[in-house]
Amino acid sequence: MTTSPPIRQPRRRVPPRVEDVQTLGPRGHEILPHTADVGLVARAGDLAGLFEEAAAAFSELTADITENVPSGGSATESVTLCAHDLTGLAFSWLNELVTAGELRRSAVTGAGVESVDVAAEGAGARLVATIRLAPFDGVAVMRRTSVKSATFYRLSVRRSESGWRMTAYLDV
Amino acid sequence: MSRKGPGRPIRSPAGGTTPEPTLEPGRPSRPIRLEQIDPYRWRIPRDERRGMRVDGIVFADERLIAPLRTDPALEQVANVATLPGIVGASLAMPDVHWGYGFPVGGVAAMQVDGGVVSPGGIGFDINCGVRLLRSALVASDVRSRVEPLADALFAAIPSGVGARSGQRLARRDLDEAMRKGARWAVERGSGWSRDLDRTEERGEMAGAIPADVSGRAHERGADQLGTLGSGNHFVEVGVVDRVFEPSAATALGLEAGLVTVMIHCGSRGLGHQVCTDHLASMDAAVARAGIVLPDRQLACAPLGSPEASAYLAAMAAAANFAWANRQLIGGAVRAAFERVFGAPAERLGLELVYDLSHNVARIEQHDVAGRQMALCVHRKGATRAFPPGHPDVPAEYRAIGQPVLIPGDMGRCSYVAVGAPQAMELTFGSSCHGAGRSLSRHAAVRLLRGVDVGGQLGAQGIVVRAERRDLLAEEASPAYKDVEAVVEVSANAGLIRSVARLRPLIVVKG
Repeated sequence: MTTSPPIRQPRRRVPPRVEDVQTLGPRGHEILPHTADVGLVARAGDLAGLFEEAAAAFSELTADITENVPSGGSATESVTLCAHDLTGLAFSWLNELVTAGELRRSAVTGAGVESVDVAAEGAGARLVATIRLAPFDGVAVMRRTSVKSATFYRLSVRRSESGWRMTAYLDV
Repeated sequence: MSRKGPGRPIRSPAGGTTPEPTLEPGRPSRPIRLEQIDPYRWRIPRDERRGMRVDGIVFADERLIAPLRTDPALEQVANVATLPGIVGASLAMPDVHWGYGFPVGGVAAMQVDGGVVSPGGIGFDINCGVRLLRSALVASDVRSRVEPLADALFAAIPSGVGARSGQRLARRDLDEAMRKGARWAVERGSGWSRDLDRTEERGEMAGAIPADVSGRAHERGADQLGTLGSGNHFVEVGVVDRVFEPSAATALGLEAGLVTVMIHCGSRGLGHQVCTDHLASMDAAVARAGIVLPDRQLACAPLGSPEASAYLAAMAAAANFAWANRQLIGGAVRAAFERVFGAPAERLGLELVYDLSHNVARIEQHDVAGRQMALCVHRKGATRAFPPGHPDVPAEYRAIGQPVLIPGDMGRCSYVAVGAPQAMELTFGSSCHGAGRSLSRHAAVRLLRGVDVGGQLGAQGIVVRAERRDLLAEEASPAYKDVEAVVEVSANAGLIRSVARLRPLIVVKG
């Protein structure tokens, strides 16, 4: 079996905010309804942006965050994740967001994805990222939907006309 | 973004062409064919979807089946029917609704020899279940102190997402809780030893190996014992407003007018992490083996394989964590009543009626075509409903059958039932676990925008305490099926016998 060289995604230095979605053309996210749980669709021009956008969707889903988040208590968490394919990497990434928030009693406010490396399908995928967190204070950062796990149900990471698209359903 | 239609083919990362799955919520990729068997059962024939090894059987009447026809839950029933070693049929209880992998309300029994275990068939909240206490109090006793009691319960039981107990357990203590389950809590003074006699499996599932539970799961669970969690979890003080079968009600200590307490919760972050960890490892193993599943959430491993054995050992540990959790919450409920009523819990008659699990897999003996077989019965949002005389029913209830606790929604009612003989023939001794959702949380919030749900409940005489007020809309009555219809179908299909109905007085939501 031959192995394709990894596709190294360019580093994004300034992660866009949710409010910027309209100016970014294909980049953005949407929350999908589900009878018991909840879903999300994220899209971006490249894989690093896609995983950042999924984090933005997760943040919107799980917390109400005002513009005046106090800097005190905010934290970042660096993560490196590996999986056997992109879908598995999305599963690990979303679950990383769940546990990072739960264990720090904080809201995920966003993420900066340094790189997403993908070998040939099924031969491995790797993500290096930083998750940004702010503690729930009941004023500037308030709890919203409680996400308990990501699922593999209808989970997909696929190329689209304008880049990449992720669909995921989360257990709440 | 268009969410209509099946989507056009796109290039996969590896360059292959694969159809993009439909993203339209609430719609299967194409309608599932249903054949009516009798007034309470519908068949999804095994030729309906490629790879189905058995039929799907859905328990529903005309009212309940109508909205299901366009619901992805039926596709999920069909998907489960493709799993290796499935016996009989892929079953859906009357409260079935759209889940992930398995539908919620799904039951599937796999041959131990040649079958698989699928963590998605148990769900993330391992041993999510229901505990019911009764009391010697009557509704007027509670109504006279309803606000202090609601406050005392809300203060005593940490609730909400990421709720903490205030005490972080050392690894050694947490492992002991995962081995001993409810007994661990009783040994620490929470509850009475007779509680264990009225808990499914005495609240201690055999085969638990805490070493198969990851460090991250330990970390998530270390300070969550004794906490309710969020979502549809609750503590509800109710009153028996109707008795259908007096002899069974008497055996359960229930009579019209008596106050009850129902607790619904599970294994918190620890159980979720166990499922996540083992799902990931099984998904990788499935990929290595080149097995194609209709839904990756159905990732599974052959029973007897290292992956399956490790999962079952960790699942049992998480199940015991959940039993310890409900035992502790039961203790906190008793303590809250003691403070408000100024009398010991024993004098208040706060006895456990029963505690059951509705998210777990177990190896059970069942009659299959006249032959006794060991089966791995997956119940995801489904309750055991063993009939009178079954050896796994506690001795004091063996004459009436296993208690089946069926919470409804917070504005209507809940039911107490017992298992019936036909459940063994039709559902591997299983029945519904609740009302079942009918609306998504977002749809419920949209529907009830501007409605004071708490005020409406108050007008009905139901006092509510919730971590978040917006949760009330997500969990309001219109978000759920009518539990009376669900119970009626379960009873008419011969799965259960209704014993009593409970009306809520106080609801504490996570």
